[in-house]
Amino acid sequence: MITAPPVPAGTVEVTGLSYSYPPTHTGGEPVAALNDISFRAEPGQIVGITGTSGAGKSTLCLALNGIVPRRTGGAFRGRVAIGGRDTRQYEIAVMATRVAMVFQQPESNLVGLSVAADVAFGPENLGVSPSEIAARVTWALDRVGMAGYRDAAPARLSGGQQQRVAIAAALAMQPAVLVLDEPTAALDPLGAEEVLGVLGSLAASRETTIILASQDADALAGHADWLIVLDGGQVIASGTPPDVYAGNTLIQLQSRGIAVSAMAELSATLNARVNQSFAFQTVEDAHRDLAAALSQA
Amino acid sequence: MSVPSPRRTEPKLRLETVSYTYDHPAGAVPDFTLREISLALYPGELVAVIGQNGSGKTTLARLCNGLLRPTNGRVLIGGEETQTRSVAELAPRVGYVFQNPDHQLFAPTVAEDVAFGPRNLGLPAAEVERRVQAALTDLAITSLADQHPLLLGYGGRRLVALAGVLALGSPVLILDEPTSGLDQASGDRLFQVLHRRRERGDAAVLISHDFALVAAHASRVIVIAGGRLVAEGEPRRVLTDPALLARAGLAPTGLTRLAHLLEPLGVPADVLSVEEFAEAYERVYRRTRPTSAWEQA
Ligand SMILES: Nc1ncnc2c1ncn2[C@@H]1O[C@H](COP(=O)(O)OP(=O)(O)OP(=O)(O)O)[C@@H](O)[C@H]1O
Ligand SMILES: [Mg+2]
Repeated sequence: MITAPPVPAGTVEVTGLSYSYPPTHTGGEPVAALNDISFRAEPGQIVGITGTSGAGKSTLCLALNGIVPRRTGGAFRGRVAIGGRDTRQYEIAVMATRVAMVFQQPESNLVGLSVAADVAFGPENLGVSPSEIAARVTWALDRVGMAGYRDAAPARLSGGQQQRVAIAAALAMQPAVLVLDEPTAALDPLGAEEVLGVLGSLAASRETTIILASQDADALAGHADWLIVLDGGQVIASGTPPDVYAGNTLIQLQSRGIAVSAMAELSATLNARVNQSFAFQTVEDAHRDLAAALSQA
Repeated sequence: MSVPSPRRTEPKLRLETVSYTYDHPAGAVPDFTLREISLALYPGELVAVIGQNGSGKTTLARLCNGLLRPTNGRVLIGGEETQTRSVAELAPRVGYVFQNPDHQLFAPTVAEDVAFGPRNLGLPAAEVERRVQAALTDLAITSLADQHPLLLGYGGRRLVALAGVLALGSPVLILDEPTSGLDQASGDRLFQVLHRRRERGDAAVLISHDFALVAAHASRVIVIAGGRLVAEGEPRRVLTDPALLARAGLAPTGLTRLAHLLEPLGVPADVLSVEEFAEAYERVYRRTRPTSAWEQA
């Protein structure tokens, strides 16, 4: 018998995933949410998921730790596995030892009486030692700029502060896979950059796999290694950000009302105006290319 | 823009040296969340409020619609102090879209939810129905009318909450991060409605971390830092001034950073949109490369 090589804990495999929510009222129709989704993410990769509102981004996130379909019911086809563990075979609590999730709504992430208690909650459930938990809480709150709020009541924080705490709570679990649904939507510009920076360094230094669902095309262009674009529950485009945010795909996304990165939009707009073929994605590259084009007289 | 010219008339909303503290510990000096804020909102204006997480934007929004009462100072709506009115009495005059949409959804169907506000105003059934249809159509969510609002995705729930407030038809709208989690197309639809309402003299306050959105739609920008109003002005002046933004703990968009980097080569640093940037760059490009411009023509 041939045994397959072990799959790293951070490998995300989604194969032929289709899912419908159960009917919202008796006698109603099931609500189709995902249609034949396949992708794979390896340890240390940052995979961005974007698309229209209601395209299925959040449902796909929830499928990665088995909440879909274990909590939601409905019709599920295909396979979702994290580090080789199929979500249909392992309970949500078991999946949680590998996958940490930041939900779209910060309040639904917060349960405790204090910020520190909330951040400690996940590692406590994983059976981490108290001294290690204390160290992780301090570290995680510091990463999101909330070190000064340890003892504050989560209910009395601003929306963006709650979002930061929710992210810290997921960081403190030190998971192999971190799934974040619109983590930066409520954050101020520097806060968003800080959080994206932390995700990048976790991917690079700890091989954490990051799944990042977002409407913020600039954030995805700057930080994702691979992009998956959903519309109506289907993958309508995928590739590296420079591939997705360029050429015909860019035009297709714009026509469907999906945001594209400002730098990609600028490249395309300029190419239509001057005889150049700019393809920059970051401000730094744009600076280099646009300055160079002016100096070749 | 054909929006009425402000300031010749009475403001729709006025804050006179408003301070606010959530805590009144006996004998202790109160720690103010907002300090001595004065501002006026004139007919046709869309005033954006920007600031770091926790700077006090949502607190300001709640003061504007009477959910919170100023600790010091006065809030006047249509010349009348909010102190003397209940939130229900104020609702027809100020519509408020919460940062978290679930704080305002409760009916069993989307249509019922959107109808709740106008029905409470005591409007005749036909007018309620007309407003519900108009709001659902404006935001392109008529297909959701019979669904349960809380079973929709986050973007869907946010659109339903927005429709409910639009259906109130209040002459002043306070929008707390209304586009977070929405796709580009939905955000564009919202601002089309707002633009129509401004033409008839309505005014709005927009809280947002998305400076490209603010640049595209605001007539004036107010910057809050540590509970104080630290700057105010036209979007072009505020959003393209990195030093001013930095003083409030904020950062400019990538496009503004790029414009500043290219300023020494003749690109103006105060462009606000991709379109403006491209136009300005093309001008510089044709000036520095007259021959290639010729060849192209
Ligand atoms: N209900 C409350 N009780 C006590 N303090 C509060 C309450 N709500 C907010 N605060 C505090 O008041 C300050 C301002 O909060 P506010 O929600 O107004 O900020 P914000 O500018 O809207 O931030 P964000 O961008 O994160 O939404 C913060 O320090 C916050 O912790
Ligand atoms: Mg807020």
